[in-house]
Amino acid sequence: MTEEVLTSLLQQVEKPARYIGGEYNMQLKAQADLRFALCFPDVYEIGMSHLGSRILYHVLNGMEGVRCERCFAPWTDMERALKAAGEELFTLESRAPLKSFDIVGFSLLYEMCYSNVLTMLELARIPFLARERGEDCPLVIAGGPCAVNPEPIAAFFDAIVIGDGEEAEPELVNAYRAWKRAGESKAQLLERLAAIPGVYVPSFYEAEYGDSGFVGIRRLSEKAPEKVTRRILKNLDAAPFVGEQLVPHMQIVHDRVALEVMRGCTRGCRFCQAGYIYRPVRERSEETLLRQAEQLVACTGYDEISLLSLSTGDYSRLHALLPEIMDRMEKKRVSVALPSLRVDSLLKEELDKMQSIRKAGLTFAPEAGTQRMRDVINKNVTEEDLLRACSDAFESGWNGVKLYFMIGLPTETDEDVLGIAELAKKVSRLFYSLPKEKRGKGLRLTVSVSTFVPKPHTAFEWCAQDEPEEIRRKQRLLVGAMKGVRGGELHYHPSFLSVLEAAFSRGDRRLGDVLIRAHEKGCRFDSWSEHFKPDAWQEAFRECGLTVEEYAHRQRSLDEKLPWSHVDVVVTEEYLKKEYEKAMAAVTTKDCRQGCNGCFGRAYADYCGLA
Amino acid sequence: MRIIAALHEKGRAAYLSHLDMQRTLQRALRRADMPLMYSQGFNPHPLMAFAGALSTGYESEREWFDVRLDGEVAPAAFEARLNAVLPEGMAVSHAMEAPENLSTLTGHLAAARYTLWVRPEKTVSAAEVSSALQKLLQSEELMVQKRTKSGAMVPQNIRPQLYEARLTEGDGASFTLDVLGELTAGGGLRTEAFVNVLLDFLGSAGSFRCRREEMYFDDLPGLPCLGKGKHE
Repeated sequence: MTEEVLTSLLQQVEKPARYIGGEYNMQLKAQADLRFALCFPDVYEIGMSHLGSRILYHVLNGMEGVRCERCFAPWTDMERALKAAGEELFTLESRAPLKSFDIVGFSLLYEMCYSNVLTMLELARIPFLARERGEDCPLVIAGGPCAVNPEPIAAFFDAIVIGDGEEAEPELVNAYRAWKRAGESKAQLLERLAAIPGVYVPSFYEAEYGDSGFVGIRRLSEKAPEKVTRRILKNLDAAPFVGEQLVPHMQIVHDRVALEVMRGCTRGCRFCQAGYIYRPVRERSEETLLRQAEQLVACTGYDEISLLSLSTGDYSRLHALLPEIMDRMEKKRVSVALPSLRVDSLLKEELDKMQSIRKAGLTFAPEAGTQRMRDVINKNVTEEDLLRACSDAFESGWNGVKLYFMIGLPTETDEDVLGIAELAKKVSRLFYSLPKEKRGKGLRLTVSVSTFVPKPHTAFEWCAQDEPEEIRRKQRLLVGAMKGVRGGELHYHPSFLSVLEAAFSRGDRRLGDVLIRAHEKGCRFDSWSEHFKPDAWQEAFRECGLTVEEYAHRQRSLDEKLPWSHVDVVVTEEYLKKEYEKAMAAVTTKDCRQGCNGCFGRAYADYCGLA
Repeated sequence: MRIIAALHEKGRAAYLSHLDMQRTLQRALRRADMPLMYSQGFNPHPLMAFAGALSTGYESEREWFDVRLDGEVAPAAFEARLNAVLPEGMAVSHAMEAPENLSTLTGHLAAARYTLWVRPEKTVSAAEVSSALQKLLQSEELMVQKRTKSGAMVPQNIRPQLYEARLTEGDGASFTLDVLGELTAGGGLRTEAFVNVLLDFLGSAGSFRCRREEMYFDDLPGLPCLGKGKHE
């Protein structure tokens, strides 16, 4: 792309900084025999906040002869400008068209960005369907948490990496190079890829449908495994991290150093897909974390560092790490953020210390309003835990607290819904019962209520999602109940987006056509309310002879074949069934740090250090 | 101590907003391990300020800024350490120790010189541009519409803020201008408005690029100065 064309494009968009690259620590190797375009199907501010993409950028650029560049979904103004100018989608580093890359890889973080994948392929002039792409097209691949049910997007990708990418991606890149050197056909490349553990090549499988919908998946080639097993990085401590983290010019969503303290979570919340698909828990050592923290702060100049994981309060050496890291960071005027603390792991001392550096809101996620409901979802926190944590926080001077809940959970009754307001009321009373000199000024209690979306590979993968009518009724119930809560503010969302999310997270291959139709009807940036077109989505389903309701609101039976059953995330199906049954009986399962619950079955038991 | 220096912003860096630029320079100062001084309060930030804000999309040869340091750093070392950690398209130069009595750079700001590359939609000869400039400079009033904070459009005369404008190059398809205008804490010449007036006069639409070449200050030894009374 010429300087002049770029200038003209940039002059037409609201936020040109999204498209310029040139950030500190950007990599642009002069010599490369393999070029990899790392794509993120959302805007720059969101994509740049994704830790996984940052790790892959570092890993791939660390490989000799490999040049990895970035590309994000262009906002609608840039999409228009590109189309009007007849220009193709380009990468930030060298401004080369996506189509000129050897491999184009997408990170799939949530289902509602699938439509943007199509927008990006269209702007790159790469055919949507893998089977329609010739030998001259780049290899188009994907990875990320959505890959655990790859079926709705199977038609668009040549290969999909399931699980941790740190080792699988370099293996894939090397297989590509070997294939290139051998001068073989694309079909042979796919065979090479299918041989890599964790790599799913959709074209080697065929889905079968009966009168009632999906009935099973058939393997078409001996070269592909019967089941694709999720890749698991065994040693996180020795694994590559983000290295020289890029420093964006414009403000991004998570604009700070991200230090991954551990991967995986031992709590076993039954609704939480991340809790299942990132098992087992793997920790980094204190020494490694302190070293990486210093390195990252020095090479970025950031003044904030976030200790990242699914549940940082559970990090086994937290009591030792926190004072040390806070002490070291304070000297450099860097504040430390703990984004995912659990109410039962909070530490008053640390709160006091955090408050002295920088004041930010505190967030707790009780997820449900009654103890019964929390037992069903295995969120093993009690009301007492929450109130104690809030009381500690208030006495340390915090006056902003955010509480996260879900409605529409399996077995939920109106009593459970109203329990959310009851809990909020108790937190509010607690704040105002403290003597004025012991608390902050006015309480800002945000109660954020989202709609439960059943996810594949969880104990609730068979469950029906509540219908929108029912969700709206429950929301209204809550609005009424929240009225008397002093300092309280209720946030909830229109529900059709979660219906769509439910459909795509547990969808089958037939949804690929729905996606193409929706794209043609202008669907993109669906999670941005100003662009969400619910009617267009409904139409797209209808035109394909499908209904979104069938996918979202149908209760599956436990012996039904599920579209993602050929993906083995290592947590066994038997274990999930057991968890489902315990959920229905409101029986909890203990944290696996307190003893193994046997979720991996025999074949992979040695993968987990806790077993 | 307090250091004054100029930041050069070219190429991709032109597309940063003023806030992006502040953030980027602050982080670079931290990477360079400068002994920064911080503001008080809940969100302490380094005591650093640009003399003026630069429009997004504009390049600048020298954006002057000052920064307070809690310790001594020789100006040459300041430049070298900062330049080692600045992103592509940015560099510092002209570092010097600030005078003791300086309050803000912005308070001394007086004028700025710009290069404007204009691409009219229809062909305009160099002679036509020159004569248009002459006419514009001769008129007492150059009225434009200005959007106020509340969003309303009000007429504004930009002639008092326009000091000099001359053609340096022109080949029909595009032309280059050298423009000097007011730039103070309260505002100054809006180059965009001036280009629009000129294009209107030439009877063409068009686009332009801009680079700030220099900023001028009053009563600040060591910094560029236009000389007293020149534009009053």
